[in-house]
Amino acid sequence: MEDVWVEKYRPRNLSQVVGQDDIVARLKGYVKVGNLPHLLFAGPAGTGKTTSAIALARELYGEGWRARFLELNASDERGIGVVRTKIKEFARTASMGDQLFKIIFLDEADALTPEAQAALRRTMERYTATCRFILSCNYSSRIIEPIQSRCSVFRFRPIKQEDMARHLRNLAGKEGLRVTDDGFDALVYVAEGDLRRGINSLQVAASLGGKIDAEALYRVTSTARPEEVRSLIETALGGDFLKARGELDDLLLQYGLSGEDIIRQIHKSVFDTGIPDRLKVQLVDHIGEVEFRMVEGANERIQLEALLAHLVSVGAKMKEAE
Amino acid sequence: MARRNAERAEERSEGAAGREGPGAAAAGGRPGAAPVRPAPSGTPPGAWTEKYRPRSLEGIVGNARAVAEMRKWATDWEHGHARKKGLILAGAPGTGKTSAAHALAADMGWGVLELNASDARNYTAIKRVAFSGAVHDTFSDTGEFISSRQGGRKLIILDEADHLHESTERSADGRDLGDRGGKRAIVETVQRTRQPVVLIVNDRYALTRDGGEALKELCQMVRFDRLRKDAIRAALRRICESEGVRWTPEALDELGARAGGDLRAAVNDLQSLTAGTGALRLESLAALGSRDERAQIFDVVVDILKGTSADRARSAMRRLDETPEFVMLWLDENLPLEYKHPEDLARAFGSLSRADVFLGRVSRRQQYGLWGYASDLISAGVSLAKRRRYPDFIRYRFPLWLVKRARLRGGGRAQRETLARIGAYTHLSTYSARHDMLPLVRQLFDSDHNFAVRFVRELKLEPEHIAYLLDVESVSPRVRSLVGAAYGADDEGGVSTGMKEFASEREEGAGDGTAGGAGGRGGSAGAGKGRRGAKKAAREVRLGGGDWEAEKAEEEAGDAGKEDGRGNEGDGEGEGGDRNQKSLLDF
Repeated sequence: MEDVWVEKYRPRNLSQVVGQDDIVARLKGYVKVGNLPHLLFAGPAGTGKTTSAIALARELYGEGWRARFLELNASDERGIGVVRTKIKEFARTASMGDQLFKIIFLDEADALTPEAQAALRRTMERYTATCRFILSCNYSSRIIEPIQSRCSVFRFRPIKQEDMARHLRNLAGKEGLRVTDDGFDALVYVAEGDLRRGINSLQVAASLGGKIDAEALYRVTSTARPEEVRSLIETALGGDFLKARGELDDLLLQYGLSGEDIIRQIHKSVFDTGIPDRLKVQLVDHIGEVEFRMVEGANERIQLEALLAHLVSVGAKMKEAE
Repeated sequence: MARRNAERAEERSEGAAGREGPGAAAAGGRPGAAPVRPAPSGTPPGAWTEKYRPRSLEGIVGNARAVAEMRKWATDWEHGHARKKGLILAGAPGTGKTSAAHALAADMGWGVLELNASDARNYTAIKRVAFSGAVHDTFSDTGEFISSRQGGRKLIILDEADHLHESTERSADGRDLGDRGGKRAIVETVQRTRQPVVLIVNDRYALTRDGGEALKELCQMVRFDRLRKDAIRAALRRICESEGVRWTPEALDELGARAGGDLRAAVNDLQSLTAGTGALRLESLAALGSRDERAQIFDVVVDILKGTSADRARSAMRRLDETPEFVMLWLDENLPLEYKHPEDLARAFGSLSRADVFLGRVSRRQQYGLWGYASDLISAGVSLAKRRRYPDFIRYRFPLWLVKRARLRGGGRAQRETLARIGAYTHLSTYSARHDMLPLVRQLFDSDHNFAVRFVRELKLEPEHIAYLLDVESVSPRVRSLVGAAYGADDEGGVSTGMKEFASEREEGAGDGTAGGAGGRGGSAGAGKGRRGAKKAAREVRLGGGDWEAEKAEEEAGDAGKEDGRGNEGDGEGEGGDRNQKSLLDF
């Protein structure tokens, strides 16, 4: 079943990978010599990290690639213990044929704590004869140096607008969609260099039927929820803390948003509010601090509540000034 | 440590026979055969809880079924055909477990070897004490001969067996770090001893998992329920009569109700309230909280939110033997009710959020020294954040966040599993699947039936998963039709083969939970699970603190699950695994 377009159109070989020509060229070099070092793929979401890893495996191993490619997700595999067990089992069975090594693809490796990464480093060393690791992360700065120094680092850039547009036009053609030019512009705009988001937005718009133009696209992408976040801000600025907190709890629990999601949406929405510009700037500083704290391991609800309380006081000051 | 316990145990088994308390007769015991249990250390002399501790099973208040089970088991033991070597008495504090264990020994004429697990926790300690009198029941580990009574049978009582301080931490290379094998010792004790064993726990799941699984086979589980308030009231009344205390009916009612099913707490309260006056009146109940050694969380909240002194706030927090996280939860809930002025509110939350940063560092780096800063920011910081007085009386409330979160947990499993499958399919973590793929999949489920059918089949989704994607109840017609279309359906539109049981089971489950029909997520669909979920939150709270909070959470849970006709039976089956203190903290 390939009704999900990101899967249906996921590149099968390295040449099809969109917008990462330099990286692809280097990866092809590994295929040619039939060997590779440990790799670290760093870059934002939807830029081709997983796709490149799979395509690399396909080209190295051909049809039987799945038997030699283990995909793990660090943010789902709780703790390094699980990761290690799986890696051990995978590595223990020697690979067949002319390829000597297997590939372990560890996605979201930056989700591992420094301690877990240190343990991972030893695991990498232990199985280096039989396995190559490809670690993928958003920020290489969150990977400890000993691991970085053992890996060739590849930086995946956000997909350039023209590459994104070309790819989406191509895809729309294959699906027989009629998308207006301003529709494609809108698509490229909302995707922000994230090809997965671009493709998903297009598929959502297409599923609604009707004309696929800028308006339709903005409509489907804005249902992503900044509405609720904006309402949260307005409620807090209006002075009703308890109601705002109720909305926050809904976002966290009912919608399952993460604190980081919400804080980024708040950041985006702040400039659309009626807050005086000078206050906006102060607020951005405040918001940035909140996100930093959450990244550092603070409790997202408490931090967001504190931000809401701050917004309540900003709202009160604005009223006084009027 | 082990030695001291052993000695204590010996003394208990034979030394104290002469110290018959005056209350034994009042409690309806069989005075002749009953050794009296000396008060445990920490209990003041003359404590009514000891004085009126029943000496015989007949004197145990409530829990008739549990008592009967114990008696049957012990009789079988005497006749050598007990099916299980040990008993696990499980139940809330103050429901009579320890009393029942000692009373059982007395009734049977057995000696007692007691080990309080929270005193001597580790493997060797437990084994030394247990085997010194049990397997070789002639010599103590100090070399003294122990005369055994009536054929030498001794009841080994392991109190607080679930409070073994057993860490499951493991080092990076997988070795046990903190596990000192207390549980292993218990299992071995029960396996090897030739004596009857009683294990006493609050949390039976804590005991029978992580190495204690064998105990499920070895022991019979006896449940002690919280006592009904009229049973507590009756027991209090008997004590009043025996002590010559005057009482008013209202005050007795109130005291019985306040105890939350905990007879020990009620008796302690009764004694402290009537000390000196010899009378129990409703008015005197008001003094209870502040007189209590262990400050109630309410008082702490009052001291912090109403007070304006750093000292008062800090000492309130110190008095309360709780983690900063726990206090933070309560303040977080009640702050906005108290601090009406936006600036005060913002300052107070600012202080809480700073405290939270320290708590985050504590848990990330295990630097417990930072707790002090967090505590000060929570107590003094919040207290002094206000520039105004708020004289209004505020009814402080239980942290609703815990209840809300618990309520949603039932739906959490379907969500997790669904996202994990979508994630596996699209090479994403569950987290990313939720953000990157869920909106699309939901949209396609809505607009494209054929897509939905293929998707269900490909990812082998179950009715709950489909319901989650459709945001409806799992018995809705749409869910059924999708299940039918994906896995094959009969003519009535029902579901065939394996999925059938599944569907009918769900139907039953929802039958008594969905009074109002539609209502979507968190409404009727959540109601059935709400009760159990919130009860779980209640237990989490109990781990952290007093029973009052737990009761309260259960009340909340009751509200959440009002449509739920079932009784209180669900004790969180199968949910024991992820229950730990941590889950309380990551609110």
